[in-house]
Amino acid sequence: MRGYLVRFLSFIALFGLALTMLPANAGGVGISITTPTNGEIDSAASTGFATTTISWTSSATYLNGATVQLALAPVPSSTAITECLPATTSIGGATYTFGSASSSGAVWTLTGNAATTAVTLCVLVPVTNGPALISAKNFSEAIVTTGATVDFGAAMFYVNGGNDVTITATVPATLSFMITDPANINLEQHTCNLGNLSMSAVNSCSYRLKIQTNAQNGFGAKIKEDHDLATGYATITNVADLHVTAGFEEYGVNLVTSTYGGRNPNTGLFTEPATAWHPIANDYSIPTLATGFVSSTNAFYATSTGATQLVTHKASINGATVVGSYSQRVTYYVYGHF
Amino acid sequence: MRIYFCALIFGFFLLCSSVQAAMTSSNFEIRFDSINSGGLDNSTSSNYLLYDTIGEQATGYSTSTNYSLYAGYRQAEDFRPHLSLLIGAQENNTQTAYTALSTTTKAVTVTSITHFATDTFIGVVENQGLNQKTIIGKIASIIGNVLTVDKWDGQVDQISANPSGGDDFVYRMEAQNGAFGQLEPNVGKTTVSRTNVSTNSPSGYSVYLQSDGYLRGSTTTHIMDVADGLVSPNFEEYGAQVYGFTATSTGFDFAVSSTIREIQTSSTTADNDRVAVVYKINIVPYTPALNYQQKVRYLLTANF
Repeated sequence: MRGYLVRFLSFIALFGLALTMLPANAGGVGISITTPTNGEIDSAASTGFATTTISWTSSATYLNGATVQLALAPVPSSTAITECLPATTSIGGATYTFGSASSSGAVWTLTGNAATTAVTLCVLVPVTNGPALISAKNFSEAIVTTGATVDFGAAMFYVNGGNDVTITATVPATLSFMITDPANINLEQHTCNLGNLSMSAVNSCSYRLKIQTNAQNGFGAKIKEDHDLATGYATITNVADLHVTAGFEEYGVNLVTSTYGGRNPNTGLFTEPATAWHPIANDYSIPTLATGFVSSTNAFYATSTGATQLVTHKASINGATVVGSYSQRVTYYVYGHF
Repeated sequence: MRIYFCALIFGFFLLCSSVQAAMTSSNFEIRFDSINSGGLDNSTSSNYLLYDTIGEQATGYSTSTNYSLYAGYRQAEDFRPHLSLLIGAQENNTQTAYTALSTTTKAVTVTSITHFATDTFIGVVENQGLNQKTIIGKIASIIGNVLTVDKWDGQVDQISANPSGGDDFVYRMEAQNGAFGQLEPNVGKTTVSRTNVSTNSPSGYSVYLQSDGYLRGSTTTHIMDVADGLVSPNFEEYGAQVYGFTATSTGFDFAVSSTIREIQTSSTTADNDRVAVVYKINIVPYTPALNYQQKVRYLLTANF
């Protein structure tokens, strides 16, 4: 009997030893931020406070008497934080008291056992200096619990762009215009010689409009003539039927717009065509009042022939056309839509 | 006798079963204590205060599957989790040439100290442009024209000691805005921002970067994001690259977009871990004329 008792008590002693060596529940917990989104505080209530809500899953349910200690660092303000009203804090459903509130933190003390491991803390943090938010600042909310379960963790909050960098850049405006040789867009040309007109053919001469701009909304170009194609006492009749035809006294201009050169806003590539005033298959008279001639709604880049606008003047005569030397001045106006 | 002995052992360990082994009395509590061979709570010098303990063994942090241990008297003093993130960007108006750089003595010799002060961050840029070398540090002391930092981070093993070419500069890095300034076609430009992370999270942290959209001048016009890993001349491109010992997303220029991207991480505690984020841009002759802007946010998550 005695031997049995000795063995029994030895077993109990060893069991008790094992129990005492079991550590309490403890560990780091992941803190998630419910409000504000990403922890970014960009505004405050009229009271000057912003609502912050953090949540975590405790290592074990907290027991009566345990405390949850919240610390803010660095403190955003010298004003004390307060619990949200209405209070949305939940420490596993346990009853608690809130206290020791200061500018750097607060303490919740459980007055009953928690039923679950879900914990949510909501506090109002002062983030204004007078009517405005404080200067950009980042602070952490760190928690440590006491009692049988020791949990710890922290999350970051950012006030007034404390975690932001604003990147800026300026692209200055450019606009250029050159009238060029039709075969060499780097060679300026300011004459267009129709030559000796005949009744058996339509005479023509050409040049290109090389227009470039980084205006976001593109460019416009207008055309006007100082007067009809004329000698001092007679004019060549302006074309009226859309085609200058041999054997008829007619004069007009034809525009073939570029098929590319405009910046595509989605790709950044210069693939968009320019827009003509009229269908490019037809010939038209030149107005004496400046009139829209060619345009683009995109920035325009014309370093190749295909990105320039081809202008062709055409003339033909009949047997009644008065002999003489005919001329006119054609003027273009180009502007960017910035 | 054996019965009494076993009962004594049993009773002893029952009495010692409390997890909280703090010593208390009616009016006082000793939360933690340790018997060592020395140490003080008030060692001081001009700029420092030291709390030290001498003679402890096997101190430090360790883990098992379900538990973590902070062993040692001093570990208990500041058990509170610590997390800190500081952000700053290059201040263009502080551009200062430098004449010498040492990565071993952590010093850079500048032509003027006007814009610099201790405890502020600086960035050193060699061969400024799309292929520049960049390092960052926090000024610990200024003696004459020599700025000494606490440590360098960034392209420390690539930057050279002797600047040349007139395109090597030091900038203060305390701004909230990273400005490229006025751009010229096919002249690539850069602006640098830096992070500074501190945490006692034993499992480390991650820093993420996310923008509020394109670098844009209007709702319909933006600078094209880099897509081929390299912001290059002759192409309209915008992107960034990260440098530093704890940097991720390294080795290529990435688009700064609304897609969240990890740029810095560590699996252990951080003592002022830093990375440099170099933003890069190149425009072509007919990139639309506008003022462009983008907000980039940095988000820190610790792994407690």
